[in-house]
Amino acid sequence: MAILGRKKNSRRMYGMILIGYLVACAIILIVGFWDARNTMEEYNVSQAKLVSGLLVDNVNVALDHVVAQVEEVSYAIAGGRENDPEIIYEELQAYAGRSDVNSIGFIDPQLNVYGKTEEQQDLVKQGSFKQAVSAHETTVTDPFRSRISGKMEITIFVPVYKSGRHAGMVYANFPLDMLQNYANMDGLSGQADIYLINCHSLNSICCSDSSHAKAGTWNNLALRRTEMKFDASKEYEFYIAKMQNGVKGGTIRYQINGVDYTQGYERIDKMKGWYLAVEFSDPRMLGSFHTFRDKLLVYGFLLLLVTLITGVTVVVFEIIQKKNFEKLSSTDAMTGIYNQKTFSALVEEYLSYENDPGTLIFVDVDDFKTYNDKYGHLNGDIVLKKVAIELQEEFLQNGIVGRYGGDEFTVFLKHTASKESVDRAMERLQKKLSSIELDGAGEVQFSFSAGGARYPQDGATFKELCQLADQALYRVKAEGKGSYGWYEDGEK
Amino acid sequence: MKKRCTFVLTVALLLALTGCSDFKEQQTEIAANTFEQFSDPLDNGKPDIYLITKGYDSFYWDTLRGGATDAARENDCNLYVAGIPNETYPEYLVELMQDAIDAKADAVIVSPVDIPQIIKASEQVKEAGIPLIFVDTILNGVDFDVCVATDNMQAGRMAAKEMVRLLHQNGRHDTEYLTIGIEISSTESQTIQERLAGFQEYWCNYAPKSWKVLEDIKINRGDTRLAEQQGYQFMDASTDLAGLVGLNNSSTVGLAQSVQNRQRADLALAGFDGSDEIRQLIRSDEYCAASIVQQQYEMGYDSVEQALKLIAGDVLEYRYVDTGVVQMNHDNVDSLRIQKILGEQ
Repeated sequence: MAILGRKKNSRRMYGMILIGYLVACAIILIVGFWDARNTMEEYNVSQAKLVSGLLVDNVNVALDHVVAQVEEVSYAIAGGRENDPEIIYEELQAYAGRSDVNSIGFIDPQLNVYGKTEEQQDLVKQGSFKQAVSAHETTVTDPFRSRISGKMEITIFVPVYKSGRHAGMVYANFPLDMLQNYANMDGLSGQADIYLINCHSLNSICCSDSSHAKAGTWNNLALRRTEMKFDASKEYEFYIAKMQNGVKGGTIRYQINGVDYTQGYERIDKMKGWYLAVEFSDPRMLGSFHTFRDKLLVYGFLLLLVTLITGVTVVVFEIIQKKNFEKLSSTDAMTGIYNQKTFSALVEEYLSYENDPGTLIFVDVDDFKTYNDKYGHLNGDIVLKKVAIELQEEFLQNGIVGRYGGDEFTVFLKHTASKESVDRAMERLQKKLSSIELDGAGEVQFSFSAGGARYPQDGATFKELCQLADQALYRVKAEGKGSYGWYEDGEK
Repeated sequence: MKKRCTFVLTVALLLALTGCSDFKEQQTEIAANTFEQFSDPLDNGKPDIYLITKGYDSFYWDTLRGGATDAARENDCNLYVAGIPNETYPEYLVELMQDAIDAKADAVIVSPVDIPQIIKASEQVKEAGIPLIFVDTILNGVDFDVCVATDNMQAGRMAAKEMVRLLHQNGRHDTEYLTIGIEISSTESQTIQERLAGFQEYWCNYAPKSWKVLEDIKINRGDTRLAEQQGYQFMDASTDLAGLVGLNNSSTVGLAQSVQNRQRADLALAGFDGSDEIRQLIRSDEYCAASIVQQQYEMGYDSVEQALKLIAGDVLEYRYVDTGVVQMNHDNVDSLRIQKILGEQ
């Protein structure tokens, strides 16, 4: 039982090691995947912030440039002698068409607009027109669709001061394309969607999108909000509040239709209330990273599988080898049954752990010497093998069969209390072994003698049982051999 | 063109006979039925103008086509009209535009859909040297000659302005905390997006700060019954609700029904277009409602006039004609002007 117990324990240990290995690998893979995901997210966020910052810098530079152009015109009017708005307007037309200026005009202090009829209509239609003019400061308007160009434009108002007195305003219209181009990068084509967002109305205007079909179209964040999902509650509200409080820039992450997005947004200093937002979807931004990560996972998994198969193969091989060695060291080389050492160990184990009864039988081939002398040693071996085979067959289910040495065999029957069942088995055995086929001698007569002792009635230890069974055998032999007998109380 | 129609029908017949899948049969049937073909060109020496619309068999598109037809008759030119019934299969517009190029049109007027195939087809019209006029919808990034359309940003601003007026009319004070709910039919439509943007722009600039637009914008996919249900949802969810806005016809119809069924005269309603439901509410002395009405007749009429100017070689100093919108309110709901715009005169 101890041997069996040790085997069970070692199997359990192997199982535990295997499970531990698999769990450790799974944890490493999950942690690795999670870590890669976080790293990619951080990369995405930093890229979004970096790119939106760069693009806003471009836009601010572009706006500074065009505002400077209009301011230059304003200084020219301020420094000139002309005060007639009609003539000022005529002179301004020299700037139209230059450096992205779509059209240019003048507004006198009484808010009379000197420009084309369509421009006047556009200015009136724009809600911010009067506010911009009355502010007496340089202002960039919200984008609007120009009647003249049919495209989206922005208007820049710059006040004119003559001798310290407000003398009107110059306005110039620039195509929104210009800003859209500055707010874009060749390398970003198809990678990111770029928007201008007004933080108060939450209106957005597309500068560039992956489908190349939405540039110049309006939308509203409230509409997009219906599709956006955030990890934390109130994240959207914080995002809007930050912009409305005039924060310089930031990033936000959200999901739309199951796809993760990162948006970087930066304030446009010259356009009051407007932010530039660059939106990356994870699959677009991190496509190559995802492929890399997925490949790494696949190869990692394959490596795990190979090491697992190798490990299991080595363990199985080792177990088989161990079994073979055990078999070789525990059995009798000629008959293949247990040798004396193993037999005694197994019986002692039984006696130590089991409370059940048992029977020890000593079997001795009668006149074995004559077989060797008369029929040769090879036939002597045949006799021993035949006895071993028959003993094993008879006591296969609950017996331990061993070769004690020479022509003596031992059998221990487990869980056997009844003499009768043993007697029947011995009678069957006597019949089966009444003759043996020998090489070159044909069928010859055969007999054996046996003596048995019972546990625990006759003896309590293996040694004791051996002695008592041997005594019984001795008696049988003395009484004429070819028979079977039990140890009897008081027998010495 | 007739040949293609015959070809499509032949293919449909062949596919049906060869036991092709139901899907293919369905697609072929759609292809055969969704084309409204151009009539054969008249060889009478008059300018040939091709009008392609992304809708027909509806009051809006029929009125727009009526305006174009009247302009063509008054200016003695040939007008060939074709289109698709709705925007479900916008790709078919491309084929109609190709037909106009093949027929050597003198001008092409089209109400486009914002998809890459139509952007490419528009470029092909221009490459063929044919004046290209957009009507109803503008395509950004396309080199068109002129666009005749409603400025939907402006229409949205006007809806917001009307809502502010109606709320004041309903006795609401500038310092009072109140909410308004917005309903739309689709998040994808450029028209709706512009109206919403215009509305929000006006609202954040001019509405009292304590008057809030509810963040939960409801989308009804053009289903008036759903629009009505969503009207009830607004009413049930917000105790501060003081107004409802429908930024297209289906939303307006649904909201008008919800307001009337619940007899919520305390709610102001601003909508779009001239459905019977909104007009009934506007007429009523009990309710407080208004609607923004587009002038699609002028749109059709002006697009033909612009096409003729381009054919004549005029250099236009503008490329965008805003046909404008009209506020329909309690004072003018039954006026001749409104009746004319709505095709009742």
